Amino acid sequence: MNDIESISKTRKLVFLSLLAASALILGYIETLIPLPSPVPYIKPGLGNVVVIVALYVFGAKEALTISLIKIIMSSLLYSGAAALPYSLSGGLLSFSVMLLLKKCSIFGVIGVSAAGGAFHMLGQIIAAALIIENISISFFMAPLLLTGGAAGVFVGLVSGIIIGRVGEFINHIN
Amino acid sequence: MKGAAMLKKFDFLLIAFIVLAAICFKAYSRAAYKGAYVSVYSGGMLYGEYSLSENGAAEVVNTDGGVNVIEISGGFARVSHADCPDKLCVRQGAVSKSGETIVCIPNRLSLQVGGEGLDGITK
Repeated sequence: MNDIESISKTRKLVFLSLLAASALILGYIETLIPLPSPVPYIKPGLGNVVVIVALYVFGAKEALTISLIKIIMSSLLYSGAAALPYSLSGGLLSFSVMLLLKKCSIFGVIGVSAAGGAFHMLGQIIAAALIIENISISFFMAPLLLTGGAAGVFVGLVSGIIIGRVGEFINHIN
Repeated sequence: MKGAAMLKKFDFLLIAFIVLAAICFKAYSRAAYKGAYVSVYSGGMLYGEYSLSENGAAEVVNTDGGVNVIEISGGFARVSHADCPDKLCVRQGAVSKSGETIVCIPNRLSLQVGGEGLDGITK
């Protein structure tokens, strides 16, 4: 953590801004993917790459900020304010779980991310169940959990690679 | 943090757990019987119940003014027309088994198949 703490506040701000911007681009790419999901506003959560990178490179506070910016901005830009409760629910639940698992230190990035992806979906489903007042959402649970988990594994892979590179990069510029 | 571990032993356990949970949900929802009627909920309140054995169409005007048209034919219920922007409810296809659901989130509409019809004999 020494290397990270030694970068200047300005540099850190730039990094985080770049991460946030990347999250929005990933959000746009997500809109291009036709997802045959019966429950609308459910997204696989590719933008979580950014949240995980922020979590491992910087820390919980920064990652949560990025996550909130991502959720609010991409909802406003792409899905509409109606998607906010779902995104918030999924994003916050996913973040809490990932933070918890990361603290446990027995899981690698991919595991944390897979759980994050699955709980991202779960959070969205819970929001849908509460808003639609129809509890039989359990029908969608199986495919969505698997999709979320699979997306999480992929996200974890990408995040892990980026985290490794960021470490090298920070050493370079210091 | 340089070189955060990518994959550890417990990761597989975690992923296996997720897969297991998914299988459990799948098993739970598999125990579905052919439905007898479909309950239509608009804004969380019961709008009406329609028998799946009677073909027909019903127009549902939701609380916000959104309109969905529910069509029943051949024991299946589907949303044949909707004025919501994404039309995901229409694309959802047809449902017929007890517990199956179609939702239209913008219009706050949901329809769920209920009851047990055994080989066409309905209660």
